[in-house]
Amino acid sequence: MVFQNKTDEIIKNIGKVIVGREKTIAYLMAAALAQGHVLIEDVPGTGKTKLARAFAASIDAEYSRIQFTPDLLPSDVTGLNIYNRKMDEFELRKGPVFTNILLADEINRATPRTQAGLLECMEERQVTIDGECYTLEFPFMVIATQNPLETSGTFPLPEAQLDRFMMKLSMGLPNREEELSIIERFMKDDPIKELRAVITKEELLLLRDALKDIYVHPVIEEYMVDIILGTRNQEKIVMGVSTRGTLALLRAVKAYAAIQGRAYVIPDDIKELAVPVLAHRLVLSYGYQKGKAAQELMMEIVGKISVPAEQFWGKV
Amino acid sequence: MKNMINSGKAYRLIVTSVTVIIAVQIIMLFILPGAERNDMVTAIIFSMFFTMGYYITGIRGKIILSFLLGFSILTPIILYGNEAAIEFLKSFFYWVSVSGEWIVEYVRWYEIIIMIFISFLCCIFALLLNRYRLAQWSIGGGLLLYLLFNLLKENEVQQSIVSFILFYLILCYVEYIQGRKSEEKADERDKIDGIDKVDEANEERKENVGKRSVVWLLPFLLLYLLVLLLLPANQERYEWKYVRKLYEQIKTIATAFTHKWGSMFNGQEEFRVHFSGFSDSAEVGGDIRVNSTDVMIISANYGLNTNLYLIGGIFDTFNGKEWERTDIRPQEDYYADFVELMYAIDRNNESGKKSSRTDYVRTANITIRYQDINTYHMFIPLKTFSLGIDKKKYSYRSEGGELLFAEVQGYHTEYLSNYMQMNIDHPDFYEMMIAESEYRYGQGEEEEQKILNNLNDMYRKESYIKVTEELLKQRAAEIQIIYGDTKEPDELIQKYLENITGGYENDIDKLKAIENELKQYEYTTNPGVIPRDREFMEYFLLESREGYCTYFATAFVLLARYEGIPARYVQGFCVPVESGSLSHIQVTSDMAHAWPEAYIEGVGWIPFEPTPAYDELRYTPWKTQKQLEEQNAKVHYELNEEMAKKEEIITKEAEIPTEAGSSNKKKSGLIWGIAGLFLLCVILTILTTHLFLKYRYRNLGNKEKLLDIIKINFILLSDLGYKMNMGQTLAEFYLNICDSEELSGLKLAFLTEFEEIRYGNKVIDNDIIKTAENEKKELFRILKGKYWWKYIIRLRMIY
Repeated sequence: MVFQNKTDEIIKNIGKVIVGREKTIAYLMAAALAQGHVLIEDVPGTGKTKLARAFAASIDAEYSRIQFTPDLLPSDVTGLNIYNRKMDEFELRKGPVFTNILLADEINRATPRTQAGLLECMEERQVTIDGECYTLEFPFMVIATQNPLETSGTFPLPEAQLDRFMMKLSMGLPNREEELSIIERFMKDDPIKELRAVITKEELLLLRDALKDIYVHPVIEEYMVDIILGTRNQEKIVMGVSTRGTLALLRAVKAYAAIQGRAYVIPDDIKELAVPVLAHRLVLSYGYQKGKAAQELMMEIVGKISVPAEQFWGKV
Repeated sequence: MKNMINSGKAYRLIVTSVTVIIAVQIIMLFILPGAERNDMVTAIIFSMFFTMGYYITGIRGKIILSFLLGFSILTPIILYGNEAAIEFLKSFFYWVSVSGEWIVEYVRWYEIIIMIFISFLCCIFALLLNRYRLAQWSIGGGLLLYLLFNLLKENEVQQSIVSFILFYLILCYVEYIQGRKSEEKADERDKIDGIDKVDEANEERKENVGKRSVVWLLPFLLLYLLVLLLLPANQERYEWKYVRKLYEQIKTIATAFTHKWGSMFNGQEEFRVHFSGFSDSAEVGGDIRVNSTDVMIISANYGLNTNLYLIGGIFDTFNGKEWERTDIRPQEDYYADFVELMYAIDRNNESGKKSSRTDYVRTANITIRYQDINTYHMFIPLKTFSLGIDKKKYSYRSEGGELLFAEVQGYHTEYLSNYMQMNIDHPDFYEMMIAESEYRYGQGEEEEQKILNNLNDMYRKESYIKVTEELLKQRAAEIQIIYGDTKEPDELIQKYLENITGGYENDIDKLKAIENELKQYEYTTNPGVIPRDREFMEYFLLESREGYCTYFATAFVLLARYEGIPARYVQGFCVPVESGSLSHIQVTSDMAHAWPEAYIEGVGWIPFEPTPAYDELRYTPWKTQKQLEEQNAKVHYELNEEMAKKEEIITKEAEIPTEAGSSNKKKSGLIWGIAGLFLLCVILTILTTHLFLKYRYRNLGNKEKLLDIIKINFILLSDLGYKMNMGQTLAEFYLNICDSEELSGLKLAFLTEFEEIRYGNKVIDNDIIKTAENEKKELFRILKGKYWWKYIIRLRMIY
């Protein structure tokens, strides 16, 4: 219950800034608790950065932001050793990656080299500068954004790197009412300035540890595996979800169940999270890679797999 | 899984009881051969209680059992005192070992002790059954063998034993089938359940899954048993007509096949039966082998009631070793012969002896169908007057007395013969023959002419010759030449013949005398070969005095000719006709036979039977009208068989509509009966399943209880039209159905409860069960309003 209260508080807090995106916020929250990174993909101006900032502001944690450009170097992300003439030694100047929540804006604009530098940090949760390793503290979460429309001068993330994001979310455009309420909220000032942190790093750590107690019934495990296997051996899919994807899904659904205030995972969680967690991991065959094909395909696969419940029909 | 074990136990109990009942019945049969039905029933009930006690109460039951056992043995001892007890035991021993020695006042106790003994055996038996599945199967096999053995032995088995054995076998079989199916299902379920299980418990569960299904079937099996027990058993022995027919069919096909192929390889050879009877050449002498193949089938269409002599080959010349045919007269001799006889009878009747024609002859109609035989010959009985044969298919000619096909005939050759059976052994017939043998053709007056014309009108078909006095006269002369011709016998034979026929005046008496003389001889199928230097007649008549039909027939023909009477040697088949098996008579090759026929001018060809073994076959007289009139009317009916049969046919035809009416009534009764039985079955199902479910439900744990309710709720929802799809989760299902109007009164809390229980590990308390039960009631109420028939079907789940 404590768990739900806390997460609800965060979600409500973020809701002050972002209108009508409760699901997305909840997914983001789940990713944060499950120690995953999130890629938000949407057209510009839908509030991707706003969401990341609001989320960072809700947690009493360090926050930094990198605007990715083609000339950005890996050392601009990780930091580098600088020779200090006074001390006559090399001194580490930490890059923006040494933080709790890192907003990587327009990640597909950087060169693959820089992208790779960041992605190593994401996966290993450590930074290597001049052969020396620096571990990143908990929480460490990358929220990357990218624009699916403008493709000229971009370096699309390779599949191997997409795989490192736990979820790929999209914001979507608000409807009429939402648009109106946004106008109202931003009438006077940016509400993000008024946001206060509602949870400390320590509390977040506790919540994370509490996830271990979330019960996953064996049939749920089987259901998950069935879905994963369903993405492999598919005509339209060149490469299905990897084992990393399986583990990501497991962690995500546990966190999501906790956010819903449950101590156990139900098939609904999996059905819901299958698209944000798994869809971006699919490598589609040539001819199918357009628009939201991956999401639709994922939904289709999930719809085909029978939900584990007692098969009561027609039998007494 | 407690419930499953319970049902398994219930099943065990029933199987064991059934087995025990069978055992008791069989044991009783051996130990108490004179036991009455009541004793049996007592024993059965007794042993059933014992086994039940054994099962239901476990160790306590065993204690009670041993107590009862001891008590029953000790009671008589206490009752009759010490000395009497010893005496009693002694007498009991005698009673068991020697059936004669027993004391009446103790008998009741003997029986009780025996019953207890049986019950004790049954307990051990039941224990075995319960422990080892193999025991159950081997007992089933044994019982089946027992039934089969009795079936083959045609022993009488009590109906109850048969019923119980069948019941037991069905039980075993059902268990086996259900067990196999449910094992698969159980495996699947394990997958879904995913709960850690102890292997042992799992095994046990699998064992019991099959039995549970059997428990469901039990009311019907018991009903079946009841029907088996109550149905009146057929008092007559089951004849396996269908099986026999099938066997015959297969045999026919098989022989037809081999016959076809056989004739292809062997060429079209004339059929040969070496045994005395029929072959192309008629050799006399040598040993014979008797073998039996199916030669023809005769269907008695009408009137057949005497033994049938089928004439195949007719021979006129004996060369000292074998018979030959030189007679090639082309007329239809059989028809002329028939008319000759009828002429004689009618003449005889006309001349004052007013007796019925049926005293002498009766019509019969037979169909002859060839089987495993290849022959030119057409076999017909003597005095055949018309033939029914497909002339397009078969062409035949008459030669001498014989009828010959143009080609060798075999399988499926079929023709029909109308002929007159002769009451040849009857004194009246004999008298008639003697009287008419004096008649000479050519002296006929107007009256005789009229009789002959009548006969011709009555029997002649277009193709037949018209029989006139001239023709008969000519024929008699021809026969005299062809069949009367013989060498002079030597002196010894002459003397021998004089000895026999010396005292008799007319030909028929002489022939009878010869026949009677030959009958004194020895009949054997192994007479040995006639020595080369010996004449057949001399050797057979005077020395060996033994042989088979060929010997006797040859001897008779030759002796008759010595007496100046024309005679012929006839080969064919002698077919015994039993009054019971008239429809199909199988002619086998060992029925082949040879016999003599003598020509009496004025009467025609008359058969004789000098072969000793065949005497009774030839001479089976029937009673004349006069004799019958003296007897009662019942036999009179038999005499007027022809009329009666016609009447029967007519009445049968008339009866057909009424029969249909009554059968309609019967049918409707049957339909009602079946419908009633069906209804009974339905009610029984609902009742028993209801009781069973209720009983099971009460003994369930909380979780199982809730699952049970939820399961039923799901079924009710699907009955109402809200069915969960395969890809749907519980929450989605809930969202789908919570909007509908008829369910608006319900919270459907069980869905969410179920979710928690299914995927989480929530503790179930009584409140949850109560709310679920209430919701179940509500759902039932809705269902009752919406689909009453579904409500009735689901009635069993209300508890």
